[in-house]
Amino acid sequence: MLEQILIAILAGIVAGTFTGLFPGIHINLVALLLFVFASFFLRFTSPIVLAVFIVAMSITHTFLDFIPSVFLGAPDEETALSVLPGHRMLMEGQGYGAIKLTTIGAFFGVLIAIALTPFFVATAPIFYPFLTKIMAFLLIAIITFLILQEEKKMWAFLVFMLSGILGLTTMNLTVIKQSLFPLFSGLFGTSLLALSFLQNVTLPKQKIKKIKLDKKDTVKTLGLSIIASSLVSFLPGVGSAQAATIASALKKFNEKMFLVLLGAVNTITMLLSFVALFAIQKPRSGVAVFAGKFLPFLNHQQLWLLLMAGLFTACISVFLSLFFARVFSKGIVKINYRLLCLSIILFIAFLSLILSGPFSLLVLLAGTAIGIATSLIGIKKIHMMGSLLLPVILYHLI
Amino acid sequence: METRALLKLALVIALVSIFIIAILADRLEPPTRKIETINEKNLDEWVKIQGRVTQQKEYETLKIITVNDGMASIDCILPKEFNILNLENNNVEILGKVIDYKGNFEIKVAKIKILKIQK
Repeated sequence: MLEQILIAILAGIVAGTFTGLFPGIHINLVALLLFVFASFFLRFTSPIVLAVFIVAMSITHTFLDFIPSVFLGAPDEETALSVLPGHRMLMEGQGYGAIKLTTIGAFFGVLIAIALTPFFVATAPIFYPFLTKIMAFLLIAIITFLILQEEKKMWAFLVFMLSGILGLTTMNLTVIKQSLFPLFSGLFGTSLLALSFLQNVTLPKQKIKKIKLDKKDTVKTLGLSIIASSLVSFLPGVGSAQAATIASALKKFNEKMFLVLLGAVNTITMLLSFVALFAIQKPRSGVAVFAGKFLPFLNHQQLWLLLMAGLFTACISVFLSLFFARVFSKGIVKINYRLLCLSIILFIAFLSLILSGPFSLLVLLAGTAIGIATSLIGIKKIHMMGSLLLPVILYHLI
Repeated sequence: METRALLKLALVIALVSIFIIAILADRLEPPTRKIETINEKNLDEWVKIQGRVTQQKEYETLKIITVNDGMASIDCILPKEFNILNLENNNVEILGKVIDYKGNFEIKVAKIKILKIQK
């Protein structure tokens, strides 16, 4: 059994590295494939081993998916203000440093999630039923708060509504499969890549140097990540970027701390989504849905086995993340950046065609156009989560 | 391209594409398929089936109807918003998403059309 678990962790790390580094390939897709072929795998192993694979893949993914996010789709100077701190650091030649910060956050995030688990298990069953009753109003309050944070409030509202209408129409388009794939790839992936391509961005030489962090600030940031991730863990459609923005409104962060926070929120949320399977018997992420199918009656021992698998994976993922960040830092300035962006856009369009069907290209186009407009207007991309939040709010209200 | 022109172009493309998607969402439906062909690969996918309602169960918040197309049968979940009385023995066409409930595939109904009313 131990051997099988170790193999599952290693296989999960390989799969998570693949999904994390390749834009457009999501862990949900691999988890779905595992579910489709589950009857084959279950001839040789047990459901807990498949669940361990999913946890290992998910944790590795949360460490590594910052690498393409930071190194690809960089903006030009005019639009740099609206982008994430990771892109700003990349344009200053500190792409490696940005990844190092998210990796630090992600690793401590795993430790925090494990420490939080007993508290989460004890309180989630009490809070969750109450939260579901006021879900729509809570989401509206969060959206209003995020829009009011912007200088261009009307534009932020317009982007939220436009993304929301796109989300609603896409979810009702019955001739496409996996509708979230073209939707999110367009809004958050190809839009940045297309902008880099259109604006002919050239990257500065990347420096690999040590990053100094203020210990007090780091501890405070990690503390706030607990509040931010509890928002994400309970509320559908609220992502780590929104949670980090809300947390940054409670305490002003510098760029470095924002990246630490983002890394921490990402992994805490991911691990707690598996804990939710035990605490409230509800999956809180796409991959947790599949883990829940393998372990419909997750017990205490199985939960802690999954958490320990997550911790073991996190230790290895730290090295993997820094290794690939170094590779990207050295390689990214040597290749034709425009050509790379164009190749990835075409690859995502091809994936969309294969996975979701020909009509998904229209969704991809609409999402890309909204994403480009958001960057050019100069507001945060989190407002595009309206694509998920508006349908969720309407579902709870109607 | 100038930033302002690019912004205008992006907004126009977004609006036109959303408009076209809305029209397609209203007019296009997946082809009708046999119930026996529905499997785990179709999870969370839209499907359209036709068949006879062989059983109907009422619950507080939903109705569950069993639809049989002559080869196989599947449970279809109708949320409480569907204000339909007795469907038993009627031929229906159902459009919905495939879901998994305790290892069984079911269809969460979005649209239901009665094809032939049994007198």
